[in-house]
Amino acid sequence: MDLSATPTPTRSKSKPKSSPSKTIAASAAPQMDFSTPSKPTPRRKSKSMASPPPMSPATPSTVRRSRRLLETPTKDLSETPAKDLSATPVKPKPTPTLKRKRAAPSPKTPSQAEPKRQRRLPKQRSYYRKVVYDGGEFAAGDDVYVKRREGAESDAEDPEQEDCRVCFRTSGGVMVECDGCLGGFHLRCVRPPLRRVPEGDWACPYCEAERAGRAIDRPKPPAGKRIRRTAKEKLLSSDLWAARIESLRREPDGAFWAKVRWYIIPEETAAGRQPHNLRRELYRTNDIGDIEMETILRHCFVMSPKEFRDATNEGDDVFYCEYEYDVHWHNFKRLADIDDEPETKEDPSDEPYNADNDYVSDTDEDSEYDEEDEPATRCVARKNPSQGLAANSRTGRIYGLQKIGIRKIPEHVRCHQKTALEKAKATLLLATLPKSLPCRDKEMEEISTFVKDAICNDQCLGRCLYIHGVPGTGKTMSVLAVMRRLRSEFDSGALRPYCFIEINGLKLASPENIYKVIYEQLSGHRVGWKKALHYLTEHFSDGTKIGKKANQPIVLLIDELDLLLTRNQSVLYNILDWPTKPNSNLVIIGIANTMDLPEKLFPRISSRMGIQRLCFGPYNYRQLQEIITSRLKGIDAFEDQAIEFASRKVAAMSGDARRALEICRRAAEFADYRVKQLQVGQTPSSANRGNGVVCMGDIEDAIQEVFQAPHIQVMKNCPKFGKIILAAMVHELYRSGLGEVLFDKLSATVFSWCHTNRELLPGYDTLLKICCKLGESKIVLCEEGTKHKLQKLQLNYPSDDVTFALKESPDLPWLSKYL
Amino acid sequence: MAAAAPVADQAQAVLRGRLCYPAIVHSPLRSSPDTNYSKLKYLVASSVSEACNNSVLLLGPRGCRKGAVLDMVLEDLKKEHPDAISMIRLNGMLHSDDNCATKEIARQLCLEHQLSFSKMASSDDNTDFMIDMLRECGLAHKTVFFVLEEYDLFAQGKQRLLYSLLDEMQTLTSQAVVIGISCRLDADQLLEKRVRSRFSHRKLLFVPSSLDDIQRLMEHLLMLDKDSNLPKNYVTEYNSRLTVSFLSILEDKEQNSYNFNSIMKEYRSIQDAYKTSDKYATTVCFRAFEHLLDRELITFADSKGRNVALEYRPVKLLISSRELAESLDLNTTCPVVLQKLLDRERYM
Repeated sequence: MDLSATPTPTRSKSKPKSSPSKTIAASAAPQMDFSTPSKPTPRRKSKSMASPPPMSPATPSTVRRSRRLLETPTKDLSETPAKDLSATPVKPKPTPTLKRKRAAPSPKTPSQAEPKRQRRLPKQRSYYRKVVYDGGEFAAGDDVYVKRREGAESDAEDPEQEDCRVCFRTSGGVMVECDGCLGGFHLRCVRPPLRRVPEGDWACPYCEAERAGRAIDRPKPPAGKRIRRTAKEKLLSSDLWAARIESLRREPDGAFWAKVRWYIIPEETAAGRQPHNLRRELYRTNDIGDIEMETILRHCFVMSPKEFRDATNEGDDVFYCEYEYDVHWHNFKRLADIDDEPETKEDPSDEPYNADNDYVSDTDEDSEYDEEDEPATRCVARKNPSQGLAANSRTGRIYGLQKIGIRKIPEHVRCHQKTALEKAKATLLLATLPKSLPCRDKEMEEISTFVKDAICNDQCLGRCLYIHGVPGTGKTMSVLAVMRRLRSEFDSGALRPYCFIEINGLKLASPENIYKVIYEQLSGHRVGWKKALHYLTEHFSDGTKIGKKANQPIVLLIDELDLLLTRNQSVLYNILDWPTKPNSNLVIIGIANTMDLPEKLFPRISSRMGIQRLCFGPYNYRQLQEIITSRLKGIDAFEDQAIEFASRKVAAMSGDARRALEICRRAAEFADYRVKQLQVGQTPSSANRGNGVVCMGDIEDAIQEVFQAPHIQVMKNCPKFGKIILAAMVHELYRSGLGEVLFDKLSATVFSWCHTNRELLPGYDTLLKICCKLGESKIVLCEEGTKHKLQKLQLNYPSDDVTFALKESPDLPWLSKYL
Repeated sequence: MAAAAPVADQAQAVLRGRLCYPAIVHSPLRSSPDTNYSKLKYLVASSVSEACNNSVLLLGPRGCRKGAVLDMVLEDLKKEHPDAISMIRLNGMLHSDDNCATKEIARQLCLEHQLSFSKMASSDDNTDFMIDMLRECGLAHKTVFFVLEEYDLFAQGKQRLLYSLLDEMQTLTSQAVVIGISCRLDADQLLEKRVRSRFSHRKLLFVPSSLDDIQRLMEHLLMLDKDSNLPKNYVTEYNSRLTVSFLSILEDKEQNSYNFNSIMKEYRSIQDAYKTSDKYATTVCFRAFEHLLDRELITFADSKGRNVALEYRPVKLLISSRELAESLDLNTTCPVVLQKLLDRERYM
């Protein structure tokens, strides 16, 4: 049984059971192709039964692994009686080291431990970020197993190691996990024995047999030996719960409580287990509960798809979580933070905002949860079903949107194996952000130094950067990329806090609204624009406080700057005047298309703005080619000269990268369409595989669609009299030498032609109607139809095009002699 | 003869049922492989299943079944993915104003997801709501379809709506398809350069169906099944008779209005010259003149001079002399004098 030959990308994971055993991990850990984020294939792991190595110190990088070593089964929580703990504070062996909760994102500022003070703590709730409790170290954000009260059947035992399903012993070498039943098997116990951990999917012989429909007896355990179940198995058979710790606190009476967000297994949702659910899949719910710390068993690891794919060494307690499950509405939604990876474009203005918030606040309230997740608001929302709170108004927003979700996760999202063409289409989407942004290094460097100067060296005074370039040359993208890079620098502690505001001029309802938006971002309050302008001016000139963030350096990005132009240009003036104020910590980056925008403005504005400029020239064909190929790296779907052809064509026309990507995507669509039509026509096996590559013809079609106006084809397919009218128009215009023709004259020509060529004479009003129709699709330009014979007509396209289109028309052979 | 009447009624009912039911009218579109239907279906279906954003423009003169094809495609998709589609329909005639359009979008989104909607929300709120909703729908694997009819009318002013829609297409979380329908062939040239750069330039051209196609469609629609014992030519005969009678009515009217000619003096001179029996007073003629104006058979030569009395404003004839002659020929009650007059003028 050699499954490694399957076309699916193989993933093999080595999973040392209780300890990382380097040899095995290295033997079978080649990571393959992870470019399909939507559908993770079930994973494979090998379980090693090697003896545990000496304990390693808990450095941050190895925390996950070593934590499991710290708590040995003998010290397991469940063995301690529940009441015992809170009553006798001596019980926890290592005294709980309490770390004051500080959401400090940078490790450089060490979250200092405040040890041994908890005995004398004041009588109030105190929140902690990290608690060492009964040997385990728990922090907010960790995932844990939680005991179910009722099913305490076998909670007492918590085997670290799983028994082999054949020989029912734990020790004895490498084990491999079946992807079907998640049971562990020794390599040698499988029939036929495996030499090494297979790559790709592997199903145990029993699962295979069941899949094939044969009845087969799984080996029974030897008499007297109970099957010990690991925590994972208990969880998956709903004898345990899993939860994520949201916050940790200590009540006045000394008991430790945790606020947790529950996970749920697919069987417990309304939709039940669906065929595409992975064995280790969990859903995160929006149900939040308060539990006592002693019900927490130990850690498990619930991971996002990306982490899950990359995970190699976390042991048996890894789970997969891609969706959130709404317990009230019984529907699913993708987890938002999956897409919130740092490289996404989505809402970049918000992210630094929140980060700053965390940094400054060392308060103990649990304010960093989204309001959506707050159980209190949720309950309110449920009790009064948003009476009078409309979802589209500002206040009602939080009550409505949770309702949106899908009843059942559609199968096509997850079980679809993407072909190369589909992968290419996905990666060519404008929305997908490439891993690297080629060809704009110099510009990005300049932006980066500009912003850094402002943030680090306080060189803010009167500085403004004007970026210009035609659409689709990566202006906004470069700035955002720079800001993302700065953000990660800030996260690692290398940079001072700053505030980044992004505004798009075209998305503002009116230019004055920009004050409102800026003020809201800085202070969090909503006021009218006049008031906002007043406050902002006061703040920048006199230094009055408007919010805690306003004192940090502010980077203001205004996209589509030219839209802020008003008649007296006051908006632009006001904004550009701020940086020159003594108390301002503001730099402005303006983006627009026209090169000479500063020159068009009043001199008092251009003197404030036009000093530092950055031009984004149109891409040339080499750059476009590089952009496309860098996106298509690893996907074999395009002929090389096809890419070159597309990029040359676009570079000659506009140099717009968006256009080039869209053309390539469209070409991929054409190719995909062709392949699929072929498959429909024939049996899938006989479909030509070699056709699944985008060739020159596809690119040509796509370019035609983009650049060519469709008028010639429409003219060719005009009704008969439409053609006659067009020909007559060309004739009349040529004869008279004028630009336009009266309908009266035109109709006379048409009638005489029809007469001589024995066509059926059209009615006068029919002709008029046809003229109006042609006018509607703008082949001819005409006045409104009420003017009847006095209507003036004009061709909208060159007369050569008309001649070309009508030269050979099968139904009117006589027409060509007039052209 | 008495037996034929119920048969005719029956046939009429069958035909009416067919003509009024769009699914039957357009069903032949579905069958052939290389049509706009299958292309559009592929495009839209792939953007649902592969979660990508798209924007398509359907171009073509009126009556080329752009809307019908789109409706069919969306209908099919709804059957395939019942949960994963929500639709927003806008019409350029009604919602070309940006504020009004965003409000309408918010209203339809609310309606679809059973949220309460407030008319009072500002346009900023509505835009924010739309963006939030797009994100939530994207997270829930729902594709939002924006169908913009009379797309060219949205391309007026600053095109803020189109910009924000198409810009939203470029974020990862939102999952939406913008479908524009327009009869202007140069609809994509109307877009502002920033908007055009964001538009993905997928265009589907709908051309008027050829004579064969129409014939086939008519056969498909009007041919009665063999088993219903009706003569086939019954229907066509009926139709043609209807048209003929309709036409004659129209032409009669035209002639009548011509009968009172416009300018009094002319009329007088004709009267004097031919001494016909029917004489009309000035007031009657003036009434007739007004009547002609109302029917837009004649019109004022220029728009200025509003304050000049009606009698003295210069007017123009809007129908050609050829049409006049034809209509006079057709009308049997027309006095011979008029025809003679017209003939004489033509040969002069």
